[in-house]
Amino acid sequence: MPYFVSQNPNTTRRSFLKNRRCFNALFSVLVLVFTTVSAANATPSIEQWKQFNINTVTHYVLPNYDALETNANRLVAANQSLCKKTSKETLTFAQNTFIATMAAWQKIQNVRFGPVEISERHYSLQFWPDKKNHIGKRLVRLIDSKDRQRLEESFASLPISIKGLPAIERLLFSEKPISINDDASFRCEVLVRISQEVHNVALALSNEWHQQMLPQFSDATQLDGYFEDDIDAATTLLKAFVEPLEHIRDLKLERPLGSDAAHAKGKRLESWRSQQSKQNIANNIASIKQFYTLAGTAGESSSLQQLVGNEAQEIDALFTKVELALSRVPTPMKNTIETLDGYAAASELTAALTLLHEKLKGTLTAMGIHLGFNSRDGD
Amino acid sequence: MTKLNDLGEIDPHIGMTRRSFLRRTSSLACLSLSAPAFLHGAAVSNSHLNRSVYSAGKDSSGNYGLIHADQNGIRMIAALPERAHEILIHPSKPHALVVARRPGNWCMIIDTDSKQIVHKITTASNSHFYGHAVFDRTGRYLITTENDLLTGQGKIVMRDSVNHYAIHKSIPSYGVGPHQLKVMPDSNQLVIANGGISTRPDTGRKKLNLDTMRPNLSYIDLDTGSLVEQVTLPVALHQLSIRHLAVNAQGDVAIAMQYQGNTGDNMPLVASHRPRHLAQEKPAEQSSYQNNPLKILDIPLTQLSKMRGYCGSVCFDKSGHYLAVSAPRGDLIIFFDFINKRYVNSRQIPDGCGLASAGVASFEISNGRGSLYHHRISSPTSAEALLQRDARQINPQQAQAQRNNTLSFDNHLSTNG
Repeated sequence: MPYFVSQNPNTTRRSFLKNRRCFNALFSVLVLVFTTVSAANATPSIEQWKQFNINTVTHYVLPNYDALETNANRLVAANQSLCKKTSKETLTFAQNTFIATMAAWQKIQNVRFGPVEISERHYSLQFWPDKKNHIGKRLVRLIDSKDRQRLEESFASLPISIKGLPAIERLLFSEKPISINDDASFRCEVLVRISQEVHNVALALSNEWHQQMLPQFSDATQLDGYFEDDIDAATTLLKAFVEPLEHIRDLKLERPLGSDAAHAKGKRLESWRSQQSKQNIANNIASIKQFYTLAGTAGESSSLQQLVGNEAQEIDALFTKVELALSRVPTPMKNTIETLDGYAAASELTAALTLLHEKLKGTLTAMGIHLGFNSRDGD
Repeated sequence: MTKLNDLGEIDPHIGMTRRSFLRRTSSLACLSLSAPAFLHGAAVSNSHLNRSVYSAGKDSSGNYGLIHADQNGIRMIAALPERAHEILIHPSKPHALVVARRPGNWCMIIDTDSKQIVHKITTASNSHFYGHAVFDRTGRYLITTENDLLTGQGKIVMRDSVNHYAIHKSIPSYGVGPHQLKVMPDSNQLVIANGGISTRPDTGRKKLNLDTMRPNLSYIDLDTGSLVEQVTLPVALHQLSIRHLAVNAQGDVAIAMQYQGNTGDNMPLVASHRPRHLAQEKPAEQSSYQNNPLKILDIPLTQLSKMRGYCGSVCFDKSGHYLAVSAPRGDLIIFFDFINKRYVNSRQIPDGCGLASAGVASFEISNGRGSLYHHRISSPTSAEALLQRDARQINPQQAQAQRNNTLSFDNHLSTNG
């Protein structure tokens, strides 16, 4: 006699019912686990991509553009205070405000589509890399001209290279920064005018994303819309997630690093004057990770981390590897990349970025997102 | 107010997005636009095509094949074993010749009526294709660029289409890594882009000589196999791989390059060449012509930096006056007034690469997301006209598209009819 058959019929029935409930519960759990795993490994549905798009724009793109606008507005005020009364305190305050504005820009620098493409706003905010020293030459020319009319009435006609954050950095962090003798000087007027332009652009970006881009993601298939469908919209957003890793590696690291430590060029680093080169990369990585982990109001199912399913563990580990490699890069990078240890540490970071980039690219391809067929593997 | 780019050049499409709609709601809002904020374009699903176009491609399951598009839609009509590159339309038969991407060694001849593979060409065992082919002026001989694995040098192979594509002749390409080739319109010469990059099948697509590469543009007499003219870039530009080229009816050659160094270097990517026999009268006292140098076509830095050192395809319009160059890594197609060697404007198309002439100042453009665009450029005459045009509601005919989002168009587009 099988051991589970009770002699008591009532007991047997109760046991059976209990076992059936257990079985049902177990089955439900198994089904749930199975479907969850399957869903996690499957290509996300159109509805999931739509939720992801709206979530990413609402909780990532818009707040980051808003933060840029807020910081840029503070920078205008800080530079106006500096120029009203130049002191060590006002200079330090202006420098710190600049660093905060640059940090805000670094967190949304990866979005290179939509309003930022208008009138070359991306380059207007940050003309970099500046291989031929356009900024230096043109800034000096402008300041030496003392042409107030040009500054006030025809600022729009000035080259975009001197309208952005690198020009402000030069004025605030040069070896001869704004000094007490510069009170009410033309140099100070240039500083304030450029700051106002940065704020104007940041404000326009914020407004246009709120008013015009968000509806495009809410209804990606609208006739004559910006996108063709939700997957097209997701692909465009995801390019802003993956491609910056290449940008950081190629332009912010490999270009300054050169072939070896002896040939490394610290002045090719981004924001080397304000010693923010490493912090910029840290902000870039933090922003990309935020993009990945963002949960949003739609729940975790719309975060990219959830959508990638079983790949999340490996991707998380590669993010950690990048963060660890970054933490080992000594500062200020301008000097350290020209040393053997600093060069090696920065090289390790480039290798970690490559691994993360390859993993993300492969994962997204498997999810049906083609970041580029010809652009990534052309001939 | 005329808007200049940072190099002081007029850039009519400063701020041009893939759909261009935002420019009219912000920086150009001062022009009091009443038109809707969107450019008619990529979402239009009705066909604009009045001809057939072919491309290699891939479907969403990862299968490679031959894609055909016409007014009835875009579809994959034949499966291929591996990724292909250029499609060549037979001049007199309903055949599409599909050339394997390097280092593939096959070329399929597909009957476009029956959709059946009617012949398969395979390279010699010590050779592989580079993805491009042309027919000679008679239409009888198929000419391909190939890699001679024994020497590492490029070669040009002629096969006889009336004799089951048996090899007729093999001649050197006079360089390493020959890629695209064209027949010159005025003579029995070939022009070949020797990309300069050495690869071997045992190392796949790995580039083996980036430090020493020396690409060139070579003109070869098809009758004798001799080198007629060869031009190179300055040594400082030796990592610019001359990969794709186009020839207009006047015999002018345009080349589109791929930079093998750091993308931030913003190297020039497009150049023109006029063969010396067209460029000069032969001086009586000289025994030979002087080589005519390659001329770089300037691109505004703001656009050049977007191209990320990579051009995917190049194509003249029907008149030979305008030139289109695709830069898929920058999602950008740029247009030149080639006769005046002047950049005209650009259009943002995600993963856009394939180009084909669609008439005078008109192009078909394909991308990796399964879209096919029709684009017409106009010749701007003044900066004011540019801005006025920018502000107008653009004629939908200028930017139509059709799409099959289950397919990806590969690098090149070929038209038939």
